[in-house]
Amino acid sequence: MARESAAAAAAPETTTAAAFNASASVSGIVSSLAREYTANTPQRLKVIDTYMVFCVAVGIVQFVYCGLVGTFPYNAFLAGFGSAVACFVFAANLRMKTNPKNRAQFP
Amino acid sequence: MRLLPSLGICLALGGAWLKAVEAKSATGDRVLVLVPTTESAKQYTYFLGTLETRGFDISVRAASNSSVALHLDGERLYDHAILLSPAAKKFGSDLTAHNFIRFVDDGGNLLVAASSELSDFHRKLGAQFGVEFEKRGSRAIDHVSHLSENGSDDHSVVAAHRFFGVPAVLPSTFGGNNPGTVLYKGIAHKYEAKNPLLVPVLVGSTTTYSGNAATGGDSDNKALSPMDTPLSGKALGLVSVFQTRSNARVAFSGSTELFSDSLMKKHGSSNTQFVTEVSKWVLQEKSVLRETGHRHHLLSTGEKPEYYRIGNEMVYEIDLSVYRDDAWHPYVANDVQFEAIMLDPYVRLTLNRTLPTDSKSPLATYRGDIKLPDRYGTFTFRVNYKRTGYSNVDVKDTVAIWPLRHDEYPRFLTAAYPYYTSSFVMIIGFLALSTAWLWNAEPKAKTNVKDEGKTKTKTKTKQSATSKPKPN
Repeated sequence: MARESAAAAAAPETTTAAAFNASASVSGIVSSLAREYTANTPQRLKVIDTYMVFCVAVGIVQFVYCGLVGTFPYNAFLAGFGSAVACFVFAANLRMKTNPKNRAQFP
Repeated sequence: MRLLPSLGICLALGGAWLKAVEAKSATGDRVLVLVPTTESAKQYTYFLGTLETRGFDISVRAASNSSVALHLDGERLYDHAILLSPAAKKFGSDLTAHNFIRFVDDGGNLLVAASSELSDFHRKLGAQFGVEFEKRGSRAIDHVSHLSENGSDDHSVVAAHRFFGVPAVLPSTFGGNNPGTVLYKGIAHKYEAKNPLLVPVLVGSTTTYSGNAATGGDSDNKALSPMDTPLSGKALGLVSVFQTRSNARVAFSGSTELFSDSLMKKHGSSNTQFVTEVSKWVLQEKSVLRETGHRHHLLSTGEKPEYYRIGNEMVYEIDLSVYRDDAWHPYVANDVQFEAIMLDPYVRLTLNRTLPTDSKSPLATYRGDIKLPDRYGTFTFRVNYKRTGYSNVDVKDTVAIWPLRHDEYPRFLTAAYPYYTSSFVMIIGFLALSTAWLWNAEPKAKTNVKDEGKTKTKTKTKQSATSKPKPN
């Protein structure tokens, strides 16, 4: 993701007029990021990104539930939350490895 | 053949009728009465007569009679002893206060009467039970409520009317608005108020005090000077009773004349009733509690297991009877408590009386539904019932409470369902990711920039290059 935005910033003359109009404000940065992302990210990576968001959501739900109800079945909480976190980490690894922009590091 | 059993029944019934007992002791009938001389026993004929009517086997002995013995071969020779000889320094050949204390320790009951001329024996015996008699020569005096008949006043015969309300010892008819009058001539004593085993039964009224000739309280009816502070009022004990932890009973009276015929016959005296009630209590004819059985079992199965488990629901039952009027009756109370103890009580529950199925039953069953605590270990189930005036009941049962086996815990906890669902949801999500990754079809390129198109085709070829081996 960082490489993508760096690549986009490094070749300003090749970007579209719309991208070139991005201002320095936060909303401008966010909207340009979103546009770049949807346009330039391969679909496979978007699949992984969706999965990662899903993992984070599941983890947050469990964490909030634990915060409300208490840690009574502590082992169950650790198992559920830990599995969500672990899946997120593995998905991140897969994304890094299969990102075409990282081909140089993962032959 | 038929005649013999019917004759036997007739004789038994006749014999029972002849006896005509009012009350019989729960612990035994042999009574030893020690008097100064056998002649002096004549002044107690009414009192001793009532004891005989109540079914006691009385042996009257002189205090100096050397054959008097309390124990033989380690066993008590008598169940009760009544001491009406205040001046005796020792009884029998060598019975000291120590022997009588051992008699009480072995379960014998004692009724001790002293007087103004009491000896050190009585002082020592009283001290063992928290009763401190006044100095020798002093007496209880009341210038207001005393015996007065035919115009002659005797201020040293106190008309005592202040009773301590312990219904187990003295029925409530003695207290209340119209208390009886007990004529008392003798010495007063201090009773240890903090001792829970010692109960004062008859105490001085506000105008009673303990005086002797020196302080001016002699038979000349001289009053005290304002500087004197003798023992007086509620703190002045006239008759006190004591129950040991092993349910032996001792009564102390500073007056032998309380039991005498002359004071009993006086007009308006309730000596007879008072002496009857106190002697009934001391000789274990009333207010005697007994536990006849106790059980505990699981609530669900009704059987008694070898060991309990933590959190088990169980039932505890105990049967209690009280002895009065010559028979055992069900004991009715609302404060019988059950305790489950492992160094400290974990459960303390007041038991409820279950309604009896048999109205003639001599026992009352108390039952409690108990949920065992969350701790495992060796517990004691205990009913410790100690009430003033009643005998002590202490029933203990040792049980083991085991922890749950690993497969006796609940398999799924309701509080953890979100975590279970999240685990399964993660599994499903991973499978979804796998299918999406494997059968992913890139959408047609929708770029309008050369470079993006270049990168797209590059990634396309790269992806197709990398993705090829995977489906295989």
